[in-house]
Amino acid sequence: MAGLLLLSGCAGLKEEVDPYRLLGKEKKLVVNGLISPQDQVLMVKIDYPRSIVDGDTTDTWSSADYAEIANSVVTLSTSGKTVRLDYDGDSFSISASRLPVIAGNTYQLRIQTPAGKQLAASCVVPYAVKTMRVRFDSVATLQNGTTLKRYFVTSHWTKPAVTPGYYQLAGLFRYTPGCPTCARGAAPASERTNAIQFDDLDETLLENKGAAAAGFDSMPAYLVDQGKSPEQAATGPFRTIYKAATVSVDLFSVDENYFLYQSAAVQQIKTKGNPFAEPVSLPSNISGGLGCFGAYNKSTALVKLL
Amino acid sequence: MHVAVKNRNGVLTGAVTDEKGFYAVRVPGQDSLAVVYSLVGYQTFTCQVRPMHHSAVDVNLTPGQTLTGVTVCAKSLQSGFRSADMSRIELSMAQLRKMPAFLGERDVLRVLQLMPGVQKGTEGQTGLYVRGGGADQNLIMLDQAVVYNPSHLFGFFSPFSGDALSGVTLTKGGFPARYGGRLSSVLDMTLKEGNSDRLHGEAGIGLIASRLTLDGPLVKGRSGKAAPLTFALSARRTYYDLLMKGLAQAGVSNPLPVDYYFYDATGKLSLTINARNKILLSGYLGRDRFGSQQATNHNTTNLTWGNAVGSLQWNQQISSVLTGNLALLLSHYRLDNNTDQESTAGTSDVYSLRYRSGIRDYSLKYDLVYKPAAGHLLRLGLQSTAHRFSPSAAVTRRGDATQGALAPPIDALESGLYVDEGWQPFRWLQLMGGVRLSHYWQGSTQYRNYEPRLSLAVTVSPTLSLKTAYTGMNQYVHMLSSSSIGMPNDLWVPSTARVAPQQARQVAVGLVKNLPHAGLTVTLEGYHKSMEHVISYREGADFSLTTTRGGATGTNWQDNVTAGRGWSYGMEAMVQKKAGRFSGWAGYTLAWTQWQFADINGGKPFYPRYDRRHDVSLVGIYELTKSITLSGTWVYGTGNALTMPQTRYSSYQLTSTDPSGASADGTPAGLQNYRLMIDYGGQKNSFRADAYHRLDLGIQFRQRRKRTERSWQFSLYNAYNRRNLFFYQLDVIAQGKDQPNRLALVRYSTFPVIPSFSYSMRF
Repeated sequence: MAGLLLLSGCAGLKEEVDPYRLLGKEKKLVVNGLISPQDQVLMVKIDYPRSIVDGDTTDTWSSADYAEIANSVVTLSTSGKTVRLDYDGDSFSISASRLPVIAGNTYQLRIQTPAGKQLAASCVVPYAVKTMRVRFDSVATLQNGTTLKRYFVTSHWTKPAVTPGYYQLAGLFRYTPGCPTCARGAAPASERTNAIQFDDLDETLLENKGAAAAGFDSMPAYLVDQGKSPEQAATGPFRTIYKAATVSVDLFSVDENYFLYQSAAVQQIKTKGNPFAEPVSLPSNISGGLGCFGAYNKSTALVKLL
Repeated sequence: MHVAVKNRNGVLTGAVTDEKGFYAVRVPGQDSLAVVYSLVGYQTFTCQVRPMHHSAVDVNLTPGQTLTGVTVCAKSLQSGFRSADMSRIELSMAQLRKMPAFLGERDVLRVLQLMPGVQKGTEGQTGLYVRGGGADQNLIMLDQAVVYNPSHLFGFFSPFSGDALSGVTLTKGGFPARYGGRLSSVLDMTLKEGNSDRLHGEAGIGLIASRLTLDGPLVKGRSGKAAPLTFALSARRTYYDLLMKGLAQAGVSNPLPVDYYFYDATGKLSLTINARNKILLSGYLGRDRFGSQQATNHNTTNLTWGNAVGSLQWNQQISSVLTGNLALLLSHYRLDNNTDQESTAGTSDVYSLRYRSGIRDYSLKYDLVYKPAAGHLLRLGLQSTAHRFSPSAAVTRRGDATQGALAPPIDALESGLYVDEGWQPFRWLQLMGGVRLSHYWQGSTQYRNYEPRLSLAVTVSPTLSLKTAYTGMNQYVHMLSSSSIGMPNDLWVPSTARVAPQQARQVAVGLVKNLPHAGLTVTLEGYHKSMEHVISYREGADFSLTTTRGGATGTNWQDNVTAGRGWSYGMEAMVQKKAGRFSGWAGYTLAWTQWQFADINGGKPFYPRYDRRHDVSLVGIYELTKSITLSGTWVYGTGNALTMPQTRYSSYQLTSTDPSGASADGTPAGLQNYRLMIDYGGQKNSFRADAYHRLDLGIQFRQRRKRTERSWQFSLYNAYNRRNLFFYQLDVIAQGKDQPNRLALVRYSTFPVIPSFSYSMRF
């Protein structure tokens, strides 16, 4: 772009500015908190944002800034019960037994810093999906004139009537590689784990504001070894290339705050580095701050393939 | 031209000719009438006619009359005081010539930007943002043919220098029904016809370009009559590329890594077949080419854009009260942009943009003007335009094998039928009402809409007039502009089954107060405009041909857009002085504009980039002597609303945990995986850039000889060297040998104080 500007190249027309002086805003705290009925520990992380010109490993905040975080009062409350979270040097946390997380309840987070900053947020814990079906399948693909197969799983579930219908899918593929050419008595390969993705990044977040009984079919998540791309086809029959294989699919029912925040975050990641892409603003439900305080409820399906 | 007739009682009645030169005056029967023809800048002509008999009178005024106070005052009343027209600006070409020039070039759009309700975009650019509307919501017509992208040099100049134009009218509201297809404004420009008397010309040399205008008769008239065939030609070209080529041949390297030129040319042929029929053929051709390659990085740009428009018109006087105009129109716009840019300054991670934007229109138009009686003016007509859109954009990352294929063109047919009645039931009341029916057809999708138009003016006293207007508008073409690219990136796209036409409703009220003793006209207007189905790129729109996992994907512009609504309201005030040695105006606009899209900014309303709370313009022209004119302009505007990267922070996401159970310490899945996100202030366009202000000064010397007039103009752009913001950018700053580079936020300005000089000669 600078190349377009015949005159802006002149030294007098370029001026370095301090981002914080330019923006003229107080330092907003960043809050990250996700609570779930499956939690053993309820945790909230509070941090200061970095300057836009900082490196990934350096920041410009002073020890006083971090002292302010450490001395903040962080409380969680629901149904008239309030608990204070303890700071452990990294985050604020408390045992989930002190404040059970129950689907359908609303939880309020409040933060008060020694400097007088007050932050607040709330979320409603979604209900978990009770039944989920995982289907194992394959698709033929032509690579270099040879027909090969790609193996994948899809998930199907029905939205509970009382939840808004925001979901995120994630999964793990646990496998032991097979070795048909290995000599008898050779040491068996160790078990390995690889995360699976249900198609592209944004497809892992799903939304249904429609009928209560609407069913979801996920996009396929391909089963591949560690270090391989999902587009790569298998080199042989499933039973040959793996000795043992298990897939676990986590279906997170998430609240709207997390869904909106995470959808924007995924969009921002997708276009990171692309100078021709439109910027993506991250929404926040933290009053007076940045970040997200949300809730989720997890259902897991475990399928033994081999 | 003004036509005046005195009746038996000595009371003056009259009319103004329409843009084709036709007029009608109803007078009581009598043997002979004195008819007076006048036009500012021309000698008044009087002739005797016998109204009881049909006869045609051709009148050719001779230029050269010095303005008088009386003449200007009459023009002022005619042009807007009693008329139901409101929110309308007529630009004087004489005034344009006297205003300070930018790099030696005088520009019609730059002058229009100085009017209340009309805002510019980024520093130095000629884009028009009228009453909260987008740059695509202006119907810009040259001899009735649409011009889609009126810009040169990235918008720093428009193709309309004024030398070739005879009339420029901008309408911001209260649109007559004969105009349609855009939401926010109509810029109607008419090319100058050739002089029928003798050959005239004007040649000029400026800092960056030279221009030449010639006009005159091609065939001489018989028996002292006007020439039946005249021509007018005007052309302009920049020097920079030629200068650099010359320096290269002399062994001097190009000081800037760019190669650039633009040219434009207009022409008009006028054939008077007889007193009732006239044929006009006119056209415009303009082209820009820019190339840039920087030796120190991977950034390269090659782009060309240009317009070609043509118009063939047949003016007919069907009867003494009915005139018609048949027009065949062509408009073609094309932009090719091939740009490679580093992901972050200083890296070899390079993205390539391949951008093609084209639109070609063929239009057929027929208009009838019926003047049955004094106080009545009926217009009706129809227009049909065959559009062909060629929108195609793709982004690839260096190393990716995916190649983008050009998208196939999209055809659409847009038609409009209108009727418009101007009626003056009483001397103090003037009404104008009409309706426009529009139809649009693209593929299997059709849209039908009606657009009511109503405006009225009440003359409260000889010096005070109140006005109001209501208009409904539809727009079937859209322009998408990326906020992330600082170069021409307009992608013209059609309405489709997925993208509905834009719609607007505008209400305006205002008053015009003449202060004859002071020679001032005060105009005050308020407006409210609501817009539906405006489109924008959605957040994260990127035209990438590869997915984040490396897979290939197709790009469709419709996947990258989102539709929403907008609203704008404000107040505009202008005090104008047209007569006397000192002329000019002071304008002030107080306005709010907001947009709301379900898929942008979390569905919350936000201020678009060019929302401007305060906009002030002061223009002064002072005739120091008959041959020396001083001029100055000062502008002030609230800074643009921008989306700025403000901070970065850690964000966490849900990931799967081992099905055998959560981690030993019970750490929740949600806080296990973090990544660094960019904060843009939480809201789209939540950052306000610095206010903009600038002073331009000019002095013009004229020397008139027997057959020629020469003029020298010295101008000072940005006289007090205000460093107005152009854009912010994150740059990599080198810190010296063996030191790591660091990232810095850099504020770029452009156009410091720039003196310029131009010389022109008219003959």
